[in-house]
This record gives sequence, structure tokens and C-alpha cells, in this order.
Amino acid sequence: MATSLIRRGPRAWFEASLLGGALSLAVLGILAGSDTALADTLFFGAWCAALLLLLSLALRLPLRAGDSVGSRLLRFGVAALGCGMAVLANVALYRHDVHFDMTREARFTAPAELSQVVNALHRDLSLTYFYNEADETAQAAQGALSVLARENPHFRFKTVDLDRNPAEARARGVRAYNTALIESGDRRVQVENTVDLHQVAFGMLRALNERQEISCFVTGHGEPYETLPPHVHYTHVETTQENLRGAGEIVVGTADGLDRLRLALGAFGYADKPITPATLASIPDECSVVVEIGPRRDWAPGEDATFAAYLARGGRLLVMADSTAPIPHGLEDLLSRVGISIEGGIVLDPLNHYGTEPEKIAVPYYPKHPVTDRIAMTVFPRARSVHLRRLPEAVRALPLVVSSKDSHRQDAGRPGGDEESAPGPMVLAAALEGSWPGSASDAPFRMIVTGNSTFAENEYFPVVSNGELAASMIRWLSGDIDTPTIQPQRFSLPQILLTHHQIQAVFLAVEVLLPLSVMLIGAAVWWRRR
Amino acid sequence: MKVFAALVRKEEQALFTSPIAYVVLTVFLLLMGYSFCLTLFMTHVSDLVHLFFQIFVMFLLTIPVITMRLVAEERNLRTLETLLSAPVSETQIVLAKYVASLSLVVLMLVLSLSYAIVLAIFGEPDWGPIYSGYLGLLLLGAALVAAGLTASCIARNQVVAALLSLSIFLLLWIIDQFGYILPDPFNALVVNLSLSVHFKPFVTGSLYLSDAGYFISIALLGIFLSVWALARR
Repeated sequence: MATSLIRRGPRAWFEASLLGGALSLAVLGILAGSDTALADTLFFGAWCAALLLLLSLALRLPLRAGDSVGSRLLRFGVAALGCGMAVLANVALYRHDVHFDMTREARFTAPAELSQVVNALHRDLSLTYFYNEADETAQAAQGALSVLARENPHFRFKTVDLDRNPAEARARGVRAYNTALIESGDRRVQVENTVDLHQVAFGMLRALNERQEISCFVTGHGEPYETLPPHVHYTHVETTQENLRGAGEIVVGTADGLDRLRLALGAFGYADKPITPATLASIPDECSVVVEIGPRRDWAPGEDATFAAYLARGGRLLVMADSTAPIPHGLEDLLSRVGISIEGGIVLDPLNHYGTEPEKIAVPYYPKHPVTDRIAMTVFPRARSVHLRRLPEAVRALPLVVSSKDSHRQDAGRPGGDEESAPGPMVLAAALEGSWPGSASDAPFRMIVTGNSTFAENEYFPVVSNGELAASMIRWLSGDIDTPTIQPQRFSLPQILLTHHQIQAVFLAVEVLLPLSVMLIGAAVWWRRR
Repeated sequence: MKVFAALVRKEEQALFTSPIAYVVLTVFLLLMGYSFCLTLFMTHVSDLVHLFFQIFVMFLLTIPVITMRLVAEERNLRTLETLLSAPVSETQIVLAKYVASLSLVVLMLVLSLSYAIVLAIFGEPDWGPIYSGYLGLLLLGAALVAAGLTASCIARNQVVAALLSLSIFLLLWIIDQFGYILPDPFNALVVNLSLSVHFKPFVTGSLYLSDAGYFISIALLGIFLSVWALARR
């Protein structure tokens, strides 16, 4: 074979190498099947080799045909075949495309959550992004969305410049810059005033969700839940104040309100509604999760039985105790059934705390649990500890948030008095799941108990990762924990500021010296040739 | 191989002893230098995105001037017959002319590296989009030179060759605008014929192998059609 190739000359060698290279790369691509990017990169190498081989073989065809009609048709046919092959080769390549984000800030790489949503699409979803072409942050978001649109044919992406096409925006009910209009079947979701692709991902999830998740907030015991929807004031910054990047939202509400938590849950596609268990025979089935935040008055008789019945049939309950009020007796009874209690007094942590106050406990690390998987530091002001006593056999409990080994409990009424406990880690939040004691149902309950509700209220919700933790708790309880992070993404461009002398030097070098030197070389060549 | 090297040398000599190469280079550097300075001094942005788009347009306008004479001039001067009667193949002639013309394009890109050097001296540019932008320009140049060479092989004189390649380039530049008004699936087909649609991702640092494949396939198709068109004569 080799001798035969040698006799046929270097061109035969070249073609044989191309064939060998194309086949080897294709086989390697097939072997690397699970790593799609690597496989498609190898296929690209095979594609290049195959195309070169085809060119070389095509040039072996008889070139000097006659002028007869048949010869002309042959020439035309070969040229058309060449064009056809080029189109088909590009279609094949497009279907196995690979993308490389070459930017330092990975600005064309969408957050993992958004990629997950797009890659998992099995039905059509269209996203129209109304933006301003002059807004660099919006352009970066648009760039990342364009990249994703090439990954799944079910995801259709279109941009509309609001300034150039106000009529389309008006017709579709869009009023603000950077609005993502997401449509899937009959469902239509608008994510307003955002360049944060996480928010777009949540919007897509909302558009895809057939079932609306409902968080039922318990009321009737002085809880801070307000029945009115949160009042939000938007600040808009992208075109007029270039030094302030991204859109801002300011919540107008009381410090102990739950407006920020409700808005964050809304971004994940959760609706919220108040319930008053004292007036109900049972907790409504529509509740994905029941949230009892900061009760300040005692429960009515029989309420604990209503909650117990709910949990016995696989209910999901979040309890956040208020550290300024006594724990309702009904709640104490309910918790004691699964072997836990909320201790009196507050926890002080001289080692890890926020600012200079040891009562604002800072928690940088967590035991491994889906709720705290991607959570950074959280702050718990005036928290009570949760005591895990003897748990029933079918119940598993895991501490979620624990203070440092130097922390101790102090009776709120007697600072520095005899009521201080020995130092040691204190559990500030715990997650429980399993079969409710005495329940005949197979459905497992889930419950999270925290010794503090302030961390999830308006004042402390935006502090480091408090908001993420509160939202993550509710999402874990309702069995929806795939994309818990709500951190915004920021983009910026490196800039160069030059002095007057530097400007002159740059201008002289690139605008005068460089073209002049080429012109002089040309003149010298012309002079010599003359 | 020696014959091919001799042919390339001959073409390089013809190109770089003619005033066209120096005029093209000087005009290119004057316009790009002005554009670079203006962008840098006004926006202070440490990237070459604007400049890459302008080089893209410059290539569309100057490459027809570079390629128009390649075969059409030889035909006018009646040196083509002499060349074809020599012991060289049409493929070798076309490839030699292609390599020589591409070397001028590469020289333009090499000279434009001075702008990247300025950015490196005074700032910390993001090199990823600069590398990918230059790769895009190189592939664009390779594709345009091949297409221009085909036009020069087909046309009977230089002006027609230049106009033909310029028309093709301009059409391929703006064809995506027509694509958006066509129904599915013709819109995707027409949009994907566009030079700018495939070039833009390179400039912004968003590199797709399919975009590289588009330019490579145009270059190979152009070389193939040039050889066939030359053999037809």
C-alpha cells in the first residue's frame, strides 16, 4: 500500500493522510460521545480534513472539457455540486456546533441555571428581549442569550431595540427597557427591568410551569405578613447614569415586613397567600408549603392539631420563631412531637458576629444539605437556639445553621447574669423529614425550624446571603431546589485613560509614522524598479 | 513543490513591486489609524471591536482591488496562454496567486497589530476577543481572496472582475437583512449566508466553530471554482 502511494507521488500521500486524519478524528469524536464539546471539536477537525480531501479529489476530475452542450452541462453540474456540498457541509457543522467564550469575564457564558433551563426544553419557548442598543450591560445579556439560542432549537430568541421599535413594544405591553417577554404555549411571563440572567431563567421556569406553587403564610398571631402586595419602586439607570450599572429595585416597606421575601419567591414563580388556620378545618391542599414566620401571640386551641394533621399527610412547614415574643404553646406542642424545642434566651457569638455585636451571629459555613449548598455567609440577629432532643425513629433531623464553638446562650432578661449556658455550637436552624409520628400515610413530611425570623424580614433579607437562605428553605420544602441562587451578574469594560502627551505619541505613531513608513517603502521599491 | 514555490515567488514579486500593494496598505493604515485613535481617545475603551468591524468593511472594499488583476490582467496582457502552456497545473497557478494575495491581507493584519500593542502598553485589554477577532479577520480575508480570485478567473477584464467581486461581497454583507423577512426555513438559510452574521461573533469574543467552517468552506469552494474557471479558458 505504502509503496503504491510512493509510486503515485506526494499528492496521493497527502490525500491518504487527509483520509486517515478525517477517519481517526471522527472515531475519536464518537468515542468521546459523552463530552459533547470535545466530540464536536473532534468532528470539526474531521470535517476540515474531509473538505480538503474532497477539494483535492474534485481537482482530479478532467478539467479541460470540450465546448459541447454535454461538456458545458458537466461543468455546470460539477460547480453546482461543489456549491451544494459546501452548503451541506455547513449545515452538518451547524448541527454539531461548538462555542468558545474567549472573553475574560465569560460574558457570553450564561449562568448554569439558565443553560440548564434552555438545554432541558422539550417544547417551544420564545424570548423577546426589549433593550437599548447603547446599554452595554443589556448587550452582554443579549449576547449570552444569543449563544443559548443556538444550543436548543426549542428556544427562540429575538431582540427588539425599544427606541427603534416602540410600536412593537407598545403592542406587546412592554413599557420598560430590558424587559424579557417569555412565551410558551398560552403562558406569557414578563421579566421587567432586568439584565440579570438568573431572573430570566426564573421567568422561563414560570412560563414552563404548568402548576403554580403557592406559599401559604400563616396569619392570625401577629405575624408580619401584610395582605397587600409588596410596593416596589424601580430605579432606572442604564442610559442616563452610565457609572451606575444594572437596574435597582427599592422595596417600600417596614423593617420587619416580608416584602423582600415575597418578591424573591415571586421571581421563582411562587404565589403567596395568607391563611388563618384557626378558621380552617384543615390546611388547604393547594399550599405547596406553609410558612409560619414570627408568631407573636399564642395559637388558638386545636391549631396544633390542624398542623399535625397537615404534616401527617406529607405537609411542608417552615417555622421561624420570633425572638422577642414567647413561643406559642401550640407550636411548642407541635415541635415536641418530633423531639425538638426552641430554647429561651438568645445566642451570643463572640467569635463570628456581624459588626461589633455578638448577638448578630454570622455563619460562614454550614453542614452539607441541599438548602445550604450554595449559600455564602448569613447573619442571624438575636436568634434563639433549636434543641434537637430524642427524635422519633422515622424522623431524620439535620442542623442547617450552627453558631461557632465559642457561642453561648443568654437569657434575654438578664444579660451577663447566671442564666448563661456553657460555650458550644448552637443550632440556629434545623431541617427534619420522615414519617410524622403516628401517621398511617406514606407521604413524608418536611419541616424547617429556625430560632429567628428577623433574618428573613425586610431589614436583614438583603444582608449577605440571608435572602438566598430564606428562599432556599422554602424551595427545598416544596421540592424545588434546582436553581436556588439569586445573585446578580455584573459586567464591566476595561478602560484606558491617556495623558495629553500619551495621546500625541499614540497619534504620531499609528496615524503618521506607520502609514508614512509604508508609503516610503513603496516609493523606494517603485524608484528602484524604475 | 519547487515549481509551486517559484510560482508563489513570481506572484509575490508582481504584487509587491506594483504600487497597488503600497497604496492599499497606506490607505488602510491611514483610515484604521484615524479610527483607532478616535475610538480610543473618545471612549477610552480598551478593545478593538470597533476597529475589527471597520477592517471588515475595508476588506470588502480593498480585496476586489487586490484580486481583480490576478488572472484578468494576465488575460489582457496575453501572458495567461504562456503561463498555461508551461509545465504547471491550473491548480498550482491558482494556489500561487491565492497565497500571494493572501500574504498582502496578512501583512495588513500584521501592521494593524500595532493598535493592539498600543492597548497593551497603556492598559490591560481583554486578549481573548482580540485573538478571536484576528482569527476572524484572517478567515474572512482567506474567503474573500478566494471569491475575488474566482471573479478574476471568470471576468474578461479587471474592472469587471473588481465590480463582480465587490457586488458579491456587498450582497453577502447585507443578505441577512433580507433573511429576516423570509418565512421559515428560508430565513435561516439566507441569514447564514451572510458574512457579517458569521464575522460578528469572532469580534466580540464569542467563537463558534461553525462560523470558522463557513469561511473555510467559502475559501475552498472559491479555489475549486477558480481552478475550473481557469481550465475552461
